[in-house]
Amino acid sequence: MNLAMLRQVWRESRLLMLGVAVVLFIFCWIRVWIVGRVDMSRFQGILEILRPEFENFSAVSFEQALTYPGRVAFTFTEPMVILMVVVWGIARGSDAVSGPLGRGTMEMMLSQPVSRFQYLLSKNLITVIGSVVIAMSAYAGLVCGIEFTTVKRESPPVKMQIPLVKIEVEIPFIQNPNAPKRMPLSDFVDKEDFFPSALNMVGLGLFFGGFTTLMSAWDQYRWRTIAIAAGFLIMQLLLRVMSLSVEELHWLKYATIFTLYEPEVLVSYAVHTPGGAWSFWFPKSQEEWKLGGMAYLTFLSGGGLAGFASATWIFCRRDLPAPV
Amino acid sequence: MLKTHDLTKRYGNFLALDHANIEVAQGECCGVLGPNGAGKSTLFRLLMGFLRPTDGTALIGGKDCQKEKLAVHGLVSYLPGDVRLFDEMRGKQVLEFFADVHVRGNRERSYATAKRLDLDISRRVGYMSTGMRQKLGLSIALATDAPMLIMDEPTTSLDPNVRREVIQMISEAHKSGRTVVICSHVLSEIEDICDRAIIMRQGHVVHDQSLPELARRHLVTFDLSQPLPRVPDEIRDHIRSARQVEHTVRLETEGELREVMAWVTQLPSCDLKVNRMGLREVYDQYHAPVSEHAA
Repeated sequence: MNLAMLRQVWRESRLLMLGVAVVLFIFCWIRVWIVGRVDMSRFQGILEILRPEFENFSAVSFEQALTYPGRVAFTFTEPMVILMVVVWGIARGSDAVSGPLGRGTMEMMLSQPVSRFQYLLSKNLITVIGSVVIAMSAYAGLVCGIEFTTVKRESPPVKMQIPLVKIEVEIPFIQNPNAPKRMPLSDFVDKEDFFPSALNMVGLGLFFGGFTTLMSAWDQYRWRTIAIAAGFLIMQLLLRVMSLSVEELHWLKYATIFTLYEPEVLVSYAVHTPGGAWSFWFPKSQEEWKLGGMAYLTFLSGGGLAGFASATWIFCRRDLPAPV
Repeated sequence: MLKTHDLTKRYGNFLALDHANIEVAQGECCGVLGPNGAGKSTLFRLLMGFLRPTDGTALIGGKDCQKEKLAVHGLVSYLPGDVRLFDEMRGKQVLEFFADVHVRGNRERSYATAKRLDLDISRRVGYMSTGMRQKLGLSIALATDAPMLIMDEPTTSLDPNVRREVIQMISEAHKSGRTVVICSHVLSEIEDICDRAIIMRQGHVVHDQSLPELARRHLVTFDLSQPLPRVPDEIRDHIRSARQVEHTVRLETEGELREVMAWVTQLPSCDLKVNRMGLREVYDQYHAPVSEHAA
């Protein structure tokens, strides 16, 4: 590994990495804080009406979605979060080969005693590290949110015991003045339950990094690489929505990588099926086996690493055109 | 130091380089000439391993330019025809990066070279003019202490003073024993610093000229109202070619001129001119401007 090369790639990417990490940290914290501010019990009636529509578009049950862990888990499926992770993957992936080729800096770089393998390895290493840093930053924001957010607590009614019959009766319109008004969210949500979801996010970043690097390795123009990666992202999201919303198109879930990005499902496993989130394959019921959190991470990051490997294979063998 | 054997590059139906066989000895300075599209840059890009040859091989310092790229790049300091560097970095940072990344690089030497070229290295590359970027590229290439220099049009976009300084620096590198392969459209630069000139046309190496030998050649032109008599045997070795078009006679001589001139002055000639043969005359044999061809 050439350290000067690695420092150069770090210099190129650090602003984007830190920017995305800070944005996600703040966003996740605020998102959890909002969860603590909104009293869902007030909307329960309305939400009950929307239950069929919700269940059509969600990978978790309606009941799970109304719990605090369920609501916090949706932070990782916010479009903003997905966008930031994907932006990192596409930005760094497209800058691996087609970016420097288009800018014309590749020629001067590869005329130095740096092999193409070393060059791409430095780029890919920073992309991988960035994906981990960004996901961990989002997780850290989530943890801060959980630790520092309080939620409104329904005060238990004041009860009075009727003498002789010894029956307790609630006294309407009176509340216990000593009962706490708000409680820490951490009393309802365990922050460790969200770690498998954060790893799932690492997998998503790696997948898009690997895919875009592969596109970049045979391309000459960065704009075209970005367009291909963005088109792929939109298509994958559409397939995901269609597979969830139309029962006849349920099979489409096998054609989209977003079937492997379900942080809310992993939280549900962590809460209800201990061990499920950390296993590769586990029995949900007697008949049903499910993919565990490790399978999500393995398949996504495996796809990403395969992309990096294929990109290296192509890049080490291709002709490098003169700058345009 | 450099040897190519039947080096060929084909893009589909287009033959960019056709069975080029070139040898450059250690310590030699060789100029590569030819119009745009002659295959010079393709040759350089094949030597640097940026392109894979369709056929043939290239060796630098005994190392295969395809299979041992890393070793070859350790022996070569390369300046591309179109120098583009990292826009967001300052000149100093760029120099430091390239000095650190090359095993034969040296930061102090890079700073000194930039200073000699009168380059402001505190400025961001993105805000540098084309000439400044060229100077920065030259500072990187000339400061690297590699045994071989490959430069594709090193004086492009430079003002006359800096151009002279660069030629001086390349000349110094050559005198210090480094092998130089340089491509330029400015024939006088090649004549000033090179030992040899290779002329390319449409992917072929069409001429290989030793420049010290060229310096001993002259073009003698005169008007003669009668047919040119037979060249005497004693001076035949000194005359490479003799042509008479109407009244104008052109003699291309090689070596000692005195005996040839003695014979010419015996003839009833007038309007006698003697010119030293330059690279321009050799180059024009293969690449005369279209207007001259028409004439």
